Amino acid sequence: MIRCLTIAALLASAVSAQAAEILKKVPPQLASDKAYAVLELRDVSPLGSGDVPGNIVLARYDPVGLDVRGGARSPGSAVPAGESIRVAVAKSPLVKAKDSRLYLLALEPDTWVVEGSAGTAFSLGSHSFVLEAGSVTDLGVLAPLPDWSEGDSAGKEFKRVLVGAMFFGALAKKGNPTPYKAEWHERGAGDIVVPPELAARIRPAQFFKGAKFGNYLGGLVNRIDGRAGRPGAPGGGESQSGTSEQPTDAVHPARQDTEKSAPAVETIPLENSNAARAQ
Amino acid sequence: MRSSVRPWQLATSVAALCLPTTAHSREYYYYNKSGVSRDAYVTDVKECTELVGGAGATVGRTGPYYVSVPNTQAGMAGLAIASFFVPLIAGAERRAERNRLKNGTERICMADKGYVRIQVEKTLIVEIEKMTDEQAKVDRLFDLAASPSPTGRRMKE
Repeated sequence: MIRCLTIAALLASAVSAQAAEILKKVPPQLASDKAYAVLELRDVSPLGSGDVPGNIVLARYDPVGLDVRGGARSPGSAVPAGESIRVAVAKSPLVKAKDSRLYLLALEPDTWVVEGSAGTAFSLGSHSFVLEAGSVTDLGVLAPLPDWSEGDSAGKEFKRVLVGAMFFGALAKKGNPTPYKAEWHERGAGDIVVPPELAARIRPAQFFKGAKFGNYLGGLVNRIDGRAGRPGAPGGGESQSGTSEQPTDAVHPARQDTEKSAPAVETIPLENSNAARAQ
Repeated sequence: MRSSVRPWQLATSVAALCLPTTAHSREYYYYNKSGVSRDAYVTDVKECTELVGGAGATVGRTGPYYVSVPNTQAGMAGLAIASFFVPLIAGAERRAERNRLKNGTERICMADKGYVRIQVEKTLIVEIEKMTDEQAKVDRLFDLAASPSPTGRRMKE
């Protein structure tokens, strides 16, 4: 797991910042050819103690080819040379709080997807969103978490690692790797307040559920909402819901022509997704 | 309708999901989803095989192993020995980590599609592996995958 975090940190440092930038200050003038996004990331406690900053990778997405742009399923959608395909959000926050960090991103206007966290690619089902040029979009609050399998927990993992290190050192048998998930909620009371110079222009993101793509982060795969989001999972599954502003059966705009009968990418409206599961 | 995938291609993919791996060298299992159609099974296996291919790609990209030794005769001799063994150990460690991630990705992906892992005796898997008729091998593996009453112990995901 620590290895996953290391990979994610390396990825963060390796990603080009030419086209996708993480801004430490709100610029006095927002560029009209950039799309700005505000994202709050909760810290992570991989083994139940010792928080580390949460990290998330966002990637540009081809909603028709159903892959990260330029990926194996969608080679024709590659971005022009010099533009970033993805951005790893892990450092340089705009605002720090006790257990959370607020990031301001200057991105290429495009459809983006939450690609993964801590080395886990959310290839089995994630959320995409459209960022328009000149807009400021609130992506809400994401909390990356280990998605423990049946019978596992942070406490058990901690004990296993500790005992293994004490008695077997480097030869200790490693357990099955645990994928990550990312819980989402709309910004509200208790979350970091968006700086006033952005607050006037910011709009909540409209998310589209069911974005699938290849595994390009080199680690495990999962759904963004983890095992609970699997079809048929107790209290979970592919629930469809909508915000008060958006229709529940909308599909991603780019797929409206190609997916009339059975949309593969359906609207999510994350605000109510938890509520929908509870119904 | 039968898939256009050739039997040997399917057999290769399916076999990859049945064979024991380094990380689980004493576990023999197959995936079962009661009543799954052949086309759905082929699609699921192909999709998971594709995702497994991406796992472990970044393992070992953290840089070479550096060994710091004092500039003495013993130190140089130690370095000479270490320069032979350290890459071997590091290589083995990387392979083990890659296998762990690939195995984990396969299990998560197949579980996500509703399959459960069924542990079986080694003899069954060996018997299937020895089959020379690829179509018969695929049929046998599919029978196991779709069986409404799989024999063997259900394993943790």
